[in-house]
Amino acid sequence: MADKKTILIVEDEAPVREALADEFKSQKFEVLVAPNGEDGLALALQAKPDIVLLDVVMPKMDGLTMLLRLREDPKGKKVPVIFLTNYGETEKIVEATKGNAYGYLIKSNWKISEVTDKVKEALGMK
Amino acid sequence: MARLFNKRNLVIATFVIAIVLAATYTMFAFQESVSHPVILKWLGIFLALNTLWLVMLLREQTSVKELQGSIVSKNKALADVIRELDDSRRALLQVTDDLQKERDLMEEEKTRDEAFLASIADGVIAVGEDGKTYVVNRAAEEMLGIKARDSIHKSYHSLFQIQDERQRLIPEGEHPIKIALATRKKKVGSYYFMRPNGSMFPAAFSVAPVENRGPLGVILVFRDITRELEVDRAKSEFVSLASHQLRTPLTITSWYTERLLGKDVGELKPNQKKYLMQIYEANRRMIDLVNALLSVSRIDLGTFVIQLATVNPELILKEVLTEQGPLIKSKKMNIMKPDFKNIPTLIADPKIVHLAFQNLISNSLKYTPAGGTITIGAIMDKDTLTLSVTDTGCGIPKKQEDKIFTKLFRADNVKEIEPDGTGLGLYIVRSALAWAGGKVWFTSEEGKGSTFFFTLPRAGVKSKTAEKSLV
Repeated sequence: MADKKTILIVEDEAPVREALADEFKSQKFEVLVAPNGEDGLALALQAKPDIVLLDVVMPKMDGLTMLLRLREDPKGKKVPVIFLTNYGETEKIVEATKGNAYGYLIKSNWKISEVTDKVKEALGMK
Repeated sequence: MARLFNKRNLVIATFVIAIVLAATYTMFAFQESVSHPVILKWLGIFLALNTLWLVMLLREQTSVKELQGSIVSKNKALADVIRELDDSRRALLQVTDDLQKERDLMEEEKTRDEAFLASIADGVIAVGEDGKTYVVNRAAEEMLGIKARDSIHKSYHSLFQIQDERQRLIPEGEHPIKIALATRKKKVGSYYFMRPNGSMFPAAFSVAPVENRGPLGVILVFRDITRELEVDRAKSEFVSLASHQLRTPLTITSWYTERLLGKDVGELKPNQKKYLMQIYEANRRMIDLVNALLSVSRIDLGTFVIQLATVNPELILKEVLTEQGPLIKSKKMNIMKPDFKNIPTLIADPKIVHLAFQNLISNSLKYTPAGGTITIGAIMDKDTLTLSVTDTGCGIPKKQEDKIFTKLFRADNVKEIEPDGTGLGLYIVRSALAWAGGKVWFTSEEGKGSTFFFTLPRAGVKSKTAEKSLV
């Protein structure tokens, strides 16, 4: 069996964060969580996860800022990031995804199982 | 002297002399002292002279009388003429007086009409058949930032220009005044009116032909609708915000229901599973509604982006049919697909093509009885790709055909079949396609089925920058 992949979920809405955490744990992921961009950035640089699921609108530091900060640090240059949002500000996200993020998805339009599929696809597990 | 020797005096003189001679003769005849034949001779001469002068005098008096008579009659005629002239003069004075009154009345009416026209809060511009302005009211001056005195008898096109909501300058040939002048038909709509200083305002307008025993021109009436648009915008922004806020709880309900339905958290009893499925489906419907409302608000606000990519219609159709797979299967529908061999890819926003296929196919599935047929068509001609969805469903009632693309409208017959529809799908499809340079239309027969066609320009769709995606 391959090594467990570590996923960092940065999301301010606790029920959303916990649903994702439980789903990924049941999919045999090592799960790290953070409630805002500031904590998420620190955790990402310290724990070096294999992938980051990143909410956009959050307190303290939003997801777009966190991504930029992450890419500024050599330790965070390569980790794939998938944006999660319920806002339609796709232009900004698309702009940020250019070479910086793997993609984005609208939470309400995706089944939780589809989110794990997308993550596995990004990690080359599918 | 001349007056002394006039004919009358000569007659009198000769008569007096003749009397004297006659008296002398009579006296001498009694006395017989003087040879009376000489007196008699002179008496004869004077009587003859007297007769001559008398005759002449009488003749003269006759002609004078005739002349006097003629003069009197001419005087009478002259008096008649003078009287007639006087009557005419009086009549003329009366007419002049009446005309003056009429002119005063007209002047008063004109002043009143001008005051009315000037006081209309809407802008009014009258344009003659030659395309030149002849009335520009005060509101038009103020709204357009022009002066009426500089704007009269000018080409309407030189006064101000108009743009549509996509900031496209309306060319001369599409100008509503030009169209109304050419077709003699009323035209209503809304555009952005540009002031000479470059600023602009949204305006609702009507252009109507003016006729009075023949065409006189057209009259443009317009109103600044900035406030209405602001209210509309606020409403759309509210819908957008509320919908975004709804998405998070809907996501939570959806994901936890999904986790409960999965096996990770333990087996459910059949009834528990059934109830959870109902919650999940209802939640899904709510998400679809929120998405539709968001799409409508983005269309109405013009804040959705058109992101271009190479679009393969066959692949998008496949995706949509996969999404609709469970319903196709449960209703045992026959799906007829076209041969895409001759249909090339084109540049468009795949989301818009997906949205059009998804709405039209989902409508056909909902409103066609089980076991029916849905036929997809694709034709590429010189300029356009035309895609179509034909079903054997309930069709559209003839009297409601013109409302089918209206926001929130649902035909009477489909409300009975599917009470939960939003009435937003076709509105979104039509609006999104319009932004993409395409269009949508249909043919239908109630009780037999419908065909919806939609097009995309072969030359490719133009991209549009904005913040939000069309869901």
